[in-house]
Amino acid sequence: MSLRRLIWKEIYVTLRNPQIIISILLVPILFLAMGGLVSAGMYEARKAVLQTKVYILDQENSWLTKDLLEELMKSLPGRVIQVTDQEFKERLHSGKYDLLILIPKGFTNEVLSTSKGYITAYMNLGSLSIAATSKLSIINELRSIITEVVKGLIATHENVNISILRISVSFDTKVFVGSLTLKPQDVNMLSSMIFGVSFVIAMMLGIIFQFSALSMAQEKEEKTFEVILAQPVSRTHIGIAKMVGVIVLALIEISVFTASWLYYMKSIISVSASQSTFSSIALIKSLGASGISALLIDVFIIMMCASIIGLIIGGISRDTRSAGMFVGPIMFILIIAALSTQWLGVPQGISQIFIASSTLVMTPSIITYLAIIGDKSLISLPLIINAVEFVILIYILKKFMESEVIVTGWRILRRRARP
Amino acid sequence: MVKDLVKIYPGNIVGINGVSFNVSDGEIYGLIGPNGSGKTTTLRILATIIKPTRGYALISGYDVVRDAHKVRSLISYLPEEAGAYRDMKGIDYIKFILSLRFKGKELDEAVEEAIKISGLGRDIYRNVKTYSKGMKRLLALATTLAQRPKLAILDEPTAGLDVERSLTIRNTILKYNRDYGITVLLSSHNMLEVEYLCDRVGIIYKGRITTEGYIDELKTKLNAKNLEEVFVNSIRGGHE
Repeated sequence: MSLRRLIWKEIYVTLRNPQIIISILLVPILFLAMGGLVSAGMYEARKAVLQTKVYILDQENSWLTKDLLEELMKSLPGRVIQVTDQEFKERLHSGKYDLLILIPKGFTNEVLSTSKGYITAYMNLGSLSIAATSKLSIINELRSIITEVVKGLIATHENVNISILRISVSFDTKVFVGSLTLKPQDVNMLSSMIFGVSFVIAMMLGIIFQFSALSMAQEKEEKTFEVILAQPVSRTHIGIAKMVGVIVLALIEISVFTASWLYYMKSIISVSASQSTFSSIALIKSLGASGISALLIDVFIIMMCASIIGLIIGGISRDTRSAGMFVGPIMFILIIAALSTQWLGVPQGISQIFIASSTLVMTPSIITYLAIIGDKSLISLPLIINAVEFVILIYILKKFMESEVIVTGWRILRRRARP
Repeated sequence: MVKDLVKIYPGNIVGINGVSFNVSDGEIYGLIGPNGSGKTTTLRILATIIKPTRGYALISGYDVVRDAHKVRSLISYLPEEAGAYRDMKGIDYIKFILSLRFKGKELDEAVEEAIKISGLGRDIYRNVKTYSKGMKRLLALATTLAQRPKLAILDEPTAGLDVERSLTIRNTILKYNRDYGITVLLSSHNMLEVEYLCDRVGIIYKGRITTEGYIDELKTKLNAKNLEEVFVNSIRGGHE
């Protein structure tokens, strides 16, 4: 009997804990959102692959290349388009293409004499999203199709059994992402690195938010807050001191986290992408002085913004439990935002940058992307947006610290007013 | 001077409803009343923690809302159940709080004084999380009094403490009032404590001061043997 009552009490108390309820509710929402992102990314990826047009310039114009083109058009109906030298150049310069293939002069002789043929491919990726980078798979697909077709054509032409032919066709591929020219194996590396930036930033902002909210709420719980507020010190200074303390603490934690994460990434890279010439050092170098400065300034600004939001949330909370209710949802939003940069790509274009930068968490990856690949003249835009947000938040914090909500808590978060 | 103070919390919850009283320089004034009567709300307003909805309060001529920063330099406030940072040593807590008001030699002297008031001995070098409730209260009171304020606002200074600790705290309050002329405004449930410490009392009930005066005068006026009876008769009768 008593055991039953004890169990009842445990379940009753647990289910009345808002933190637990929110975390239970968040799990399905988190997975639904992640699933939505993944399926949207996969759908876009599939669509991108199926809609990719292959423009081929046949400089050789031999029996082999003519037949090869004919076979390719049959294999990929509507997606393979033969272009003239002039059209090829125009598309290459304007960037109006997905994949340009150049079959050079001497291709047939090379294949017949050495059993090896070389084709040049130019791939244009609009972004580094999963959808965009998935287009790279077409190159491999195309290479195996071309190899098989060439083998078949030569076997027929030479009247030999196809199985005895050892012919291979290699692609010299250049991938263009914005202003950057990459090797195919570097694209995924760069994409992972930019995603890594979003992920580390999401974790960092989450930690800063959590520390700030709990630090403020803990003061209330330990009943020290009113003692401090009654001292002859500026309340804004109390807020700023908390911000600095939290940021120092978060920087220590995030340094440990980033170092561990980089070690983990290095282990993966050494196994899966040893071919890549792109390293984290190369990433930092490619940011350039302006990119690095913009990134550092922005990271500092968004850290302070996250801290202010955390302090306000902690201030309206009655205790650490109430403040903890917000930590889960905020972490969840940050993770989703970080994931979206990988699945949907880093936002581009002024309106997209404007909206995405206002979330704070996406700005560093936008700046990284713009500095390395995109339009460098736009780098100041996300920076300005975050700076404006910071000024607004500082103003709100100042007003908030002077208000009594900081003592009494937000009404919804209070059980009752205590006279 | 407190005049017609009204505090209405969000949701139309009335904290106090027209509280008025005066505390003279150097006196100990007790604010007594049942739970939820408005004692803490009144003290919080005077400590500039919250703002009144209506009315005003002046401390040495300074308005608690308009001149909040100046008021803070004149008062020290001991909230009900005031704690200290769990992971700080007692000594570090004292130094920290006092450093917000003093510096240099003044700070060193204030810290020495707080250590002496607290009577915590070697325990002052231990983390606050190892302290008992009484020790925490002594630590908080020590930092409050060592600030040598013009007005010490003490909310239930001995709530939840044992007899010995309570007596120590009461004697310390009395000593500082007599030796340094610190004016004290305190709230308490403990009538014995109020009778022991206070010159005058104000009985607060349902957000209003229903009775105010010198304890002996109130006893005579309300035909009561002690302050407890004054309190009960005042609340039952709703005397002004």
